[in-house]
Amino acid sequence: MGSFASEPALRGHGKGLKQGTWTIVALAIGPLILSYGIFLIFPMIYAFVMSFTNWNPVSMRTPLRAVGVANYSELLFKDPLFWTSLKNTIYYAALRVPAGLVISMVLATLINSLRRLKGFYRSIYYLPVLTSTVAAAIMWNWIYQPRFGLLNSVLASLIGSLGLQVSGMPRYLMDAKMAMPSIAVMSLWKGIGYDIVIFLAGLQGIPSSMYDAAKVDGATGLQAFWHVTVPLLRPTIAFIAITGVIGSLQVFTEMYIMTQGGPVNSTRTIVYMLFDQAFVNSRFGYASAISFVLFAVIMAITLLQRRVLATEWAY
Amino acid sequence: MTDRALAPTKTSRGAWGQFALYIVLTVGAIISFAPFFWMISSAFKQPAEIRAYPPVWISRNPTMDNIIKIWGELDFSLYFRNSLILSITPTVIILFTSALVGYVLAKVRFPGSNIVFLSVLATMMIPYPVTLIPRFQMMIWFGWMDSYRAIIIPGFYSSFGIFLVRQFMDSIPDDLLDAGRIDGAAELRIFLQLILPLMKPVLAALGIFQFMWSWNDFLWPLLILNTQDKFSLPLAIAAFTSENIVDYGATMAGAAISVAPVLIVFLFLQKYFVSGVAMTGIKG
Repeated sequence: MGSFASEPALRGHGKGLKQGTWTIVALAIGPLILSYGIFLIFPMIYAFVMSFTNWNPVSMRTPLRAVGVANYSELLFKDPLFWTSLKNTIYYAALRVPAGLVISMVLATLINSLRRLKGFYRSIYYLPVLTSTVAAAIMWNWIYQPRFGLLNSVLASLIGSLGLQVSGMPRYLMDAKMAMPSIAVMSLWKGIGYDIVIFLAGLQGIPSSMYDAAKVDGATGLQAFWHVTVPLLRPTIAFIAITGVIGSLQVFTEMYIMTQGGPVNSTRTIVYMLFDQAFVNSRFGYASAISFVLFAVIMAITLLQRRVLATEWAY
Repeated sequence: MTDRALAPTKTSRGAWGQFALYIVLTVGAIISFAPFFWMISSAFKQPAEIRAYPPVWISRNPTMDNIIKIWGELDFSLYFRNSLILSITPTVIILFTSALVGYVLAKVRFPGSNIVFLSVLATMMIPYPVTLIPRFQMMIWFGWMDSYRAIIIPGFYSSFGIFLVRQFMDSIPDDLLDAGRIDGAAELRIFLQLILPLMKPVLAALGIFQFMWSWNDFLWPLLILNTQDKFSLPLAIAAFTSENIVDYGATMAGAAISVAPVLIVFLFLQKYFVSGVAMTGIKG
């Protein structure tokens, strides 16, 4: 579509653009190009060039010099922390994105088939989206607190009321195996409301005649979900999957506030590593190399995803 | 519009099905809401109740001590004011720039307009860590460290905002604009008097989003601001929390206070909010 709907309004207004038209175009586009040039394009090119140097903004004693691909080869071949961070980041995305997709799609479908109170449920699930990561992290640090945190208190009283005994309660953020899944759960809590609203918008686009047809064919609710809802939501699913992966691969603040990358580096992510190298060790060149490797990883995964999401369901 | 038209299931099982739906969704809603409830109720709890087992959901003897404490120790009104400045300024600027650029890209024909739009879309693909470090260096060059200029000026334009407005303008018929042009109105006047009022729904949605993002922004202000008096609310609360990690009542009160403004904005402008989120999902 697009091209027809956005057919320019000025068509047929004589020869070329009028004076006033040029004024508004210049006012709109000129400063935009200037701003993006200075704060987006220049920094990106600059950082790429400087990722081949020993760029260090603090040290006056070490003069700036080119180091070739040393930053990249150190990162990929000599820095075990990079592979740990990469693995952790992908692990986080693998936990967060599919679970979020499934939960939000199911909840949105359920909300959509309500007769009343749709708006109420949508709002309740949306509330966590409004919370800042800082506030959410403070809340969940307390929920996950092993001794008197909310989760273990509730668990203990549940187990107690069943008359069972337990030896040790889970330690969540303090356990190297559980820390990342725990953060992913918090992030799910904080994020699904947004995806639900997007799915609800997608569901509005499915004509009810599709469901009627499915029912005539004798489909149950579950079959209708699987054979009507899911295929027709494909563009929405692709949108949420792709933006979800891009966002997850850049995760940082949650770990910075909740675990500081621990225990034993189990929640250290790529951006966390970049943050440390840049703003703790002042190795700007090295950190820039990290950022471009991350960029490449994101591009590769996004392209792969696009391909998979486009072909898998093509009829 | 009847109920039947809305509901895909309307057989005799329908009533039971609806009942089951409400049960499932309510359980989910309770899980979703519990942390919130816990944060707000903890803000009013006595110290003993905070660590009580089994957990105390509603204080029997609510206290304002936590709020008074964090307000006193943190000079909340200052951070509140800082956060308002750091959220409202970029929001107003981005609303104006997105409206102008989005309108021009949708409705004014000029050579290269498609290239500009595609480039704006392409910038949305750039991950923020790529520009984080060089921007930091630039702020040092410009002498903008520890200044609000570093937070506000680089963010005059929002690709997301431009995209949103352009998509919205596509749905507005050109005849409306042509009427203004035939009257001989200048483009700028058409924009200000005719277009801006039409954009109210999309600008409301964008405004709420931008306000929320700016209000909750953490990493960039953390890198830029050093003087405590200039901190935004999330920075102040994060700093307070790391120093008073065990004072859960006060940190919960702080978190609750920091969330409140966005919640209030949401409650008042809910319908725009929802339509705004929906607009982002239109095109992947």
